[in-house]
Amino acid sequence: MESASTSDGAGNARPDDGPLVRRALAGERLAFDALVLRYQRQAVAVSYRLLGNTNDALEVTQDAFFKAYRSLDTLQKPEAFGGWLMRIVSNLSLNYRRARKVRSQLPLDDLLGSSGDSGEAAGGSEWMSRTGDPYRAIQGRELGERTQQALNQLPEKQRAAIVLFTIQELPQKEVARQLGCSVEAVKWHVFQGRKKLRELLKDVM
Amino acid sequence: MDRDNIEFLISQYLDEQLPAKEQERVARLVVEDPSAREIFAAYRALDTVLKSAPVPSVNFDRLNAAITSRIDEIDAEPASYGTLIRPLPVRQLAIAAGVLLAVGVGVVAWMQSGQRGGSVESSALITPVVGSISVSGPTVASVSTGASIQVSIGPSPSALTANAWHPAEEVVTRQPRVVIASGLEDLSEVRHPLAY
Repeated sequence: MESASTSDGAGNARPDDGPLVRRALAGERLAFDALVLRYQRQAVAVSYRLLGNTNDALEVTQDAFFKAYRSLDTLQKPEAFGGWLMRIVSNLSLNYRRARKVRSQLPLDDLLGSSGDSGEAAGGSEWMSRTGDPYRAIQGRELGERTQQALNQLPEKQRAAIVLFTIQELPQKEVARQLGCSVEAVKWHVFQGRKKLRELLKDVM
Repeated sequence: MDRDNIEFLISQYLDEQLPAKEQERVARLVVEDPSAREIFAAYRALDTVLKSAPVPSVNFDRLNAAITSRIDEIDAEPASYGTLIRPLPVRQLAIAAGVLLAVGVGVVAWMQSGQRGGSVESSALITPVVGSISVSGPTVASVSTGASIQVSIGPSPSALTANAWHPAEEVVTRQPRVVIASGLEDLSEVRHPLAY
């Protein structure tokens, strides 16, 4: 099962990102493509958690990589590409949610469903799952749906604080910057979010 | 301390966001107080659920192709687009032309009034103000084909031919520099820079 938070968490630098970023800056497109492959799942997951909608998450993910490519030369620490990209993803997701613009730039329906090479559609699940066990796949799907439904019921700042801090493990200072509030407020939003989620998800915990 | 405060402390304790002494105090509380322990366990379980819950799968091959396609479009763009040449609507160009004309006429008038004040030795350089220019508009109308507006500052061709026009040295000695404004009906397509 692939979780919304991957082992290469948003706030952690990956040393092997550095050479790829430098090669991309030198004009090697394949290097940036490798970064896309490496981070697209995490980007979709973060955006989906914040937006609660797969189509929107896909659009934001595209925008995020587009923006990252255009401003790659502003990245001061190439090794920190992952965290930097996730900040772009979360910023765009929050802005998107506020604007709630309705666009259909791409045939997004085509992007939904299983992927040919990823292996994530094993078992026929439409949810990110690496297990071939149908029972576990259904369990995972239910858990995913219930979790997202619960997150969707939170006020925006509480949801964003939970997603960015608790799930993506961004530093509270960074979350505060993105939400335009103080660190103390982030702590409070996380707490309030936890309280509500605990109640909403008590039967799956 | 009420339950809400205790829960808030436990939440921060779980995140290791409390000062060291406070962290120790809440740790003791979690060990000694069954209700605090229950809250702590519930929050920890919740975090596990949140981090492990799957999200919908998507066709990453297609997503990757879509991202690549958009990036290809950037690479195909001319280097200067969007940086050196910015689209400006005709109306803004016309306003800029008007402002520049007004400034130019004002400078000429000021120079000439200074010369009349006796600071110029040669009376040959003293030229009267023979006219003023004012530009308003132009009114931008929808057109079905390309349209252009051109405004220039300087002597008329006949005045130049007759050698009857002598600009002061400090004023404009360059080629007329304002204004070319052209565009199509769709103003967003106007991409001509100001010519100065």
